[in-house]
Amino acid sequence: MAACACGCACSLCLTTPCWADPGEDAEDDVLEITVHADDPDVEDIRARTTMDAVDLERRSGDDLADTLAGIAGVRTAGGTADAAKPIIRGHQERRLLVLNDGVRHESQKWGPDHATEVDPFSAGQISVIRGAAGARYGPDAIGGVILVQPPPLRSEVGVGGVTRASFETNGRRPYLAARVDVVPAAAPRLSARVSANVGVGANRSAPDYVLGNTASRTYNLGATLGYTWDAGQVRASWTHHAFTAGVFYGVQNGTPTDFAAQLNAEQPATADLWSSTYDIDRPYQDVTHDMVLVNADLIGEWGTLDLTYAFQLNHRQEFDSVREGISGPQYDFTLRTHSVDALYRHLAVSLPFGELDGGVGVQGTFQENVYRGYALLPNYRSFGGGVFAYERLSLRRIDVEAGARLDGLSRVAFVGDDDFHRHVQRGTLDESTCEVSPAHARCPAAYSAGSVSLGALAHIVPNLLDVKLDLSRASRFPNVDELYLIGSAPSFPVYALGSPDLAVETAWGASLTTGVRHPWVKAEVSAYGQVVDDYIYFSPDLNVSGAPRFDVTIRGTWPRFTYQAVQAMVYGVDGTVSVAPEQSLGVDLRFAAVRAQDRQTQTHLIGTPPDHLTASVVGRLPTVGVLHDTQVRATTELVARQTRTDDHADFAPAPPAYALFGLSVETELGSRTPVRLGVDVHNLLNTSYRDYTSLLRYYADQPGRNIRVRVGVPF
Amino acid sequence: MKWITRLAPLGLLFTTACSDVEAPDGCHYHDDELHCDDDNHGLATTVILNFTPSGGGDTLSFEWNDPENDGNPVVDDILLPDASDHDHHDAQEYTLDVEIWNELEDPASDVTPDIDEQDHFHQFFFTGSAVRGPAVGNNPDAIIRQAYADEDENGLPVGLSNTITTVDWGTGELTVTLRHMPEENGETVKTEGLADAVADEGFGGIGGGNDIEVTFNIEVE
Repeated sequence: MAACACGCACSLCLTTPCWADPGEDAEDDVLEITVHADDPDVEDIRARTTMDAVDLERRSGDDLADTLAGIAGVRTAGGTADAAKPIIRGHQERRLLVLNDGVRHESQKWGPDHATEVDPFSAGQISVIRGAAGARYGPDAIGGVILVQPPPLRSEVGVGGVTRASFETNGRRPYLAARVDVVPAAAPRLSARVSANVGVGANRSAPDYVLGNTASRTYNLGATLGYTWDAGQVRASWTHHAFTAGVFYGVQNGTPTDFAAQLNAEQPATADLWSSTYDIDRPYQDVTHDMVLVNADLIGEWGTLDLTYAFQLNHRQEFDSVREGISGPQYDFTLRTHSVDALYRHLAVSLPFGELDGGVGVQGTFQENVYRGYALLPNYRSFGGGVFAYERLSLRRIDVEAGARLDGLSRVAFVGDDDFHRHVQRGTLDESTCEVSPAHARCPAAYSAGSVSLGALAHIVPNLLDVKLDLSRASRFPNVDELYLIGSAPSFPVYALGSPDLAVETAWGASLTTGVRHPWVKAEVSAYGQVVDDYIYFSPDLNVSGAPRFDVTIRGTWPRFTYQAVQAMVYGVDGTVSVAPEQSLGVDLRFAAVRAQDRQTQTHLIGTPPDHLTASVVGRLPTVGVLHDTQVRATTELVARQTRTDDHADFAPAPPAYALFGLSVETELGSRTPVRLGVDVHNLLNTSYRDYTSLLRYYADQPGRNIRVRVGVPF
Repeated sequence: MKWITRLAPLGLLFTTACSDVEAPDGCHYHDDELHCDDDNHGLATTVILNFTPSGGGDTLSFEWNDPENDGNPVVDDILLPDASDHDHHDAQEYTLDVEIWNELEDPASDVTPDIDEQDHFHQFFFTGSAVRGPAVGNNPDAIIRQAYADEDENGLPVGLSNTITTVDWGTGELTVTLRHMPEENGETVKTEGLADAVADEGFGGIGGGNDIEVTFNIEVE
């Protein structure tokens, strides 16, 4: 039964290394009726898409969000730096959970310009679960979960690995990556890995002008050492991510009137001064993220036990445009996170009518945030924990999975005395809820939440038609910025204030997914709906007569925006359809439409991605000499204008609809360890457009045509 | 919720044991709590306008002051006498010198020399219903006229020193904006004709960002 960890409960392996032999259970009677056991996307109760190594190679040099942008239901929230954040089913990163090698990625993810500090090259595969998954993965998993999983460690004696290289014309950015795995003959149970990659980019260019100060530099390092024996594996790893990126010059500190004036300008005021350069000026951000992880997977006749300890150090510095002579950052965040995860999975229990799999887990997190700089955020310390259990009953043609989880968070915020008095003066913080000392106010808070899920997977027609239904309740605790933020927001013409009495967000949802697997049609289409109670929403603060409030600072007069709890509703459809997926000529379609609104006022929530459809015609060419798996793909991406907006809560009208065209050609050279080559052209016609979910749309056009040349060489 | 609160002390023990953290620069631990010094370097809290009659006389000073930077400023109303001693307005000329202070630092620091030293990256603009001048154009309701009385190393106006002339009795608003315009891609952002561009297109028509934008009520009597 040792193989059960990877055979009959394959979905679980995606959060832990799958090192056991997956083949032994093939003779198991129950498994014989568990179709598609080799495809976790099919077997997962939720809508799920996995990008494998080849998919990831096509996105060489992209950050995590852009890497995932090819998945249905996933959009990107671009920044004013060369950075993006993922959006899943209309939910921004606050309501997403990123599990990097099974560990919750912890960063300053509240910032609209703060890209996810996870290296896609570190992954052997990345899975996106669309929809709430809080009962299994914990708080924040309201919109979805991103599972970043490293490739399994090498098990055979010898040396192997992969190198990738790419060059992009827009921004003249070279990218180089290498990963080497070694198993020494003298110690065949030991396995080691080192990996590194670097990408350097000059300023990006929109069709009509250079986007000044959008140059960036990224490098990643990683090392892993593992030891495997009959009853388990222990593994230690370290990853280091470093990212430095300029913030677009066109982002001005101006009052609402000035902001409106630049919106109507044909191009940014100083665009004629900008040139293509690798130099990065103020304002810019400089971020490092380190993670040390120790993991043990133990297996025995009692089941399996997966234990993980991880320490993450996220250091973010932001350098504002200041007078010469002032050195150092104006915003400096250090976030330290210790986490412990334990998951016990019992042996599969054979019942007369099916098989029962499941497990229980516990998770603990200790976190400390240190902020130095202009008035913005407090320091804090928090302790969080959760316990969960799930069981999956596999019957002949239907699997039923139920899970429950209880989470709690205790957090103490140390609000600086100046900020504390500013909050008290405005009436946004009740003085009696904090212990006041000369240096700061100590403001404690505690939250708890329960999550449940009940799902079913029915193989209506085995190997042809599946239907999934997932019912869930998931939660999110308020972030510190939502509670205590105070100050002018760097990117928007507003004065932003937190609301210390915000409660836990709770989402109730249902998701129905249909999968078709036929030689001529492969499809997965989902429809979903969620109601989110106490949805925390950044919107204008109105007085009793409904008029906006304003704050006067030495930099001008600003409308006051606060975090407010609204009763939200989110629903939509997303999916992919591949016609003739294996034939010489096929068509791929990918689409998503999502609606989000306040249930009480019926107003639309801003930031919701507009409807989009991507259609590709794919030609698969026959083998010619050493060239094989050659394919040519012509793509059209249609994005509608977002007409469901709220003019009072946004700063600019939604940009017009747009259509982008793309073309890519790829092939493989050689057979044993084939070299993969590809050329991708994005925005072929160099179309000027603005993207509704990108911060840049308030200031400038999106980057224009980009040609990427890439090569991947395994060895 | 209680169970998690009971476990919290364990968490703190764990944190202390495992993290053994060093306080970052400018911070220190006291009773297991982290204290950080505020970093307010480079900010401004106070604008002082000093009006000195050209013919001699006492300097009249008016402040826009938010010493705690808490959005609750104390703003003086500007009251400028004209030169008249009868029932007609007679123009009075003043020299207007601008001072900028940061009162979040202890002791308060005078930011004006920093701006003076880097005047090729800075320019003040004087706008509002009370003003006629380069950044407003011809304003028939104006009660004062502003003209730059200084220039930087490139011969461009700065606005730390100005000439203000009363043009009529009445009341209105005076907005003082300090625009910070560092180089972009090594190119100069502060160029000729910026005040005209502000008059034509507003501040969205020029580069850089606002360090200061404050508004005073002003009366000429």
